[in-house]
Amino acid sequence: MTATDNTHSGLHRAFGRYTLSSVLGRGAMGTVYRAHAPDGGRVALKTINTDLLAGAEAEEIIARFRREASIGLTLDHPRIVRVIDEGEADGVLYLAMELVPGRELKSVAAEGRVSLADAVGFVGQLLGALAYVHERGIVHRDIKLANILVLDDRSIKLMDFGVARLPGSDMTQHGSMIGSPAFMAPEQFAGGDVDHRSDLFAVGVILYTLLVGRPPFRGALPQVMHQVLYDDPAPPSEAVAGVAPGFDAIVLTALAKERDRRFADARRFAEALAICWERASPAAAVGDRTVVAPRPAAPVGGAPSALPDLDGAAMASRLAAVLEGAADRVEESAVAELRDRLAPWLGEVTPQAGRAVDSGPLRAVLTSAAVPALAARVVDGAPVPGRPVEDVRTDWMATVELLVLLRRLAEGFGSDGSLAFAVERAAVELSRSFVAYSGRLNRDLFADDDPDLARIAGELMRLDVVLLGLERLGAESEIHAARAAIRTCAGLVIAKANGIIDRFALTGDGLARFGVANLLVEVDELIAIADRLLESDEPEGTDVAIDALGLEAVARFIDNAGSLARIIVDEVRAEVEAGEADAGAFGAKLRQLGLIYMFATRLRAQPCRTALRQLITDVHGLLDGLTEQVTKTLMDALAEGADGSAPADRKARARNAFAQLTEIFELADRFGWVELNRGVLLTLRRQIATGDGLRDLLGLP
Amino acid sequence: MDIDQQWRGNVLVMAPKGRLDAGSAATLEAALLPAAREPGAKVVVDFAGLDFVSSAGLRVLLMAAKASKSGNGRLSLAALNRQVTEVFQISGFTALFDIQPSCDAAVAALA
Repeated sequence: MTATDNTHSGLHRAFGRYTLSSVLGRGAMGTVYRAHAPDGGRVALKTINTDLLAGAEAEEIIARFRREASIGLTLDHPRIVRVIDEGEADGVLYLAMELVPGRELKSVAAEGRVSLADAVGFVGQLLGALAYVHERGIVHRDIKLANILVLDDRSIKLMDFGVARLPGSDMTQHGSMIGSPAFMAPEQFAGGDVDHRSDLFAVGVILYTLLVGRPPFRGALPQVMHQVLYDDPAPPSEAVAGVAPGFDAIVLTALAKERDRRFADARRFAEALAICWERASPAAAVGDRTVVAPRPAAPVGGAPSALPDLDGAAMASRLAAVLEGAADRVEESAVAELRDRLAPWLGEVTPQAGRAVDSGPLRAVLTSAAVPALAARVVDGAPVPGRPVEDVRTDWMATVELLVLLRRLAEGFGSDGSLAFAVERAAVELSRSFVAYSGRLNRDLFADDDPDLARIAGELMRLDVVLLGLERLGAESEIHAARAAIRTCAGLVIAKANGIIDRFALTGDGLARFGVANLLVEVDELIAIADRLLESDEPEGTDVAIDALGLEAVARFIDNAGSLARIIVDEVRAEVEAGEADAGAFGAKLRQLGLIYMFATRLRAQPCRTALRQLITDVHGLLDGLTEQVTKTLMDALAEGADGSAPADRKARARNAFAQLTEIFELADRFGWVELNRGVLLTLRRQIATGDGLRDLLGLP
Repeated sequence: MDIDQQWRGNVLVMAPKGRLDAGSAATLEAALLPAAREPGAKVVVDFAGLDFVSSAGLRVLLMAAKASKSGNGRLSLAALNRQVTEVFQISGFTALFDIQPSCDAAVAALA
């Protein structure tokens, strides 16, 4: 699992035999923690909340989790993330894995094309891991960019065997669909039997994506599915300049529609790739270098060798000049430059032996009157809520950074602490503005029937900015106070949302007069605000936040979310029924449903579990019903001449239904509802796999 | 949402297009956050192709600023239109970001 996350939290909770130290990531189903094993080793601990799964999904999710654990425990390969332990603690299933400091290949690839050497290197290693896996009769079945980690030394590790197929197991799932659509082989879509060559197809998708900088099959879900079944992508050398034509044959062999025409196994794939790379690389060395845009090597600046400047007097005058100009404006670039050049005094770089460092002039600058003036500007120019725009310093964050730099310098010199004291006073002043604002917010939200939410959202955003400043200042107790005030604000916002939902939805009056759209605009904005406010609590988890919000408000919100979901889906269904729902509006409403649902399920308060389960079951049922209805619309529209309507009209309805199913798929994907999505995929497959007759309808060339 | 990404020297330029709202914010988040999190990363977000920024979009920018600060990286925003500038002022974001009139100016300031 990835370990690039910088969350530093105070978590030190015992969990079974493990001690959780911080949160690495949160998904729809559970959380991944950085943790300590009993022997002191560090692991990534993946957990799932089984009691928060909708009925139809629970079995499959738990089965996947168990499969990931049991298969992982049998594998031992340097290019595969090692599973160390599995079990259950405090009623929660867990999986302990080796903690890998790396990034998902998905995010590496998202930054643009990787170098040819990286593309070949990553895929070659992946094939090595797959050769090992396939020799054991195991098929991974979910090879994709997001399941591959890239380490700093450019080595990779494959993970997540949750849907893998074991040799001779009864879980062959013949005829069922598993995987991620953009990486699935034709036989996976077509419901045929799956073997190791389906994994090799997915590797072909990855190789193509890395070489060309975009995936071979693109577009919305039905379009992707159609292309996978019927279209060959443009060869890489034609799609983008600078890829040797030799790679074309490799990629197209890997992506062959019929398994028998693909590489017979991972080793043969890897050999072909290696030979092609050997032939291509001398050419690449002499020839066209502009084609591959590699990420530049080490970041510039900050390297000790580039900083021979240990002249204390010169540095002091540079610092004094920046401080003097600071009354007008602090440039971020100037602070960054100072930070680099002052490195020898900040204890980051050991000054070269034999060169005396004269710190006298620098000490003098630190005691000048410019320093307290700087601290005062941090307080007076901060973007605290209510301060007029023209009084907020546009260089505020840079000013904060400069003050932080000066304090570090003073600490390095072991100075008398007056600078630290000035910083502390500034932090106290800043944290007062948080408490003051929560009082004002209460009046703004409740004194008026129709509060100006845009303005309130802006002011609350200011709190986030100031909080970030406090974090840079390292003011622990003030951050704590500020977060508490932010939680109070979030509680007020949720109470307001509850009030609006009660008034509109439960009485029905407001609904009749203003419609669902109007209700949602306000609630949407309030939830977005509350969601953001609670985000600053992420390191500490949501338990703290729920305490502050008040159980009663949380419980009411969960109930209200259920009512809202029903209202939204009822309206969407009425529109589908009447043939009015265009895909754009349909998607927008589903996304609103997603926002409300995701927020409600974030509030995992123990006493509200029953209500939460009810909500999850209800929303799952609603989406299930909606899927069924859209599916029926699609089939009706595709059944020729069923209702005597004009073909153009039928086409439009079919196109619409395809787009709607895509929207449902994406929403359920966010919720982690694999069973529901399996149903959507099956419907799409049934229509698309019957033949190449829908090309025009799907807008494909 | 489409996001053009391009390396200019050691500066990564990201140019999202269209509306940055609740629907599209996740796409920008997925592209921008990993890039901003890299230690010492220099990133420019070019607003020239954006016509609207909602509070969900602001949230992504705030998270990127946090990620960038914790890795001692630099994040600049370029070519903000009037609507966006106003939103930035109201939300205090002008105090947080290095804002440059054009993408070229932003790249020059970071390089």
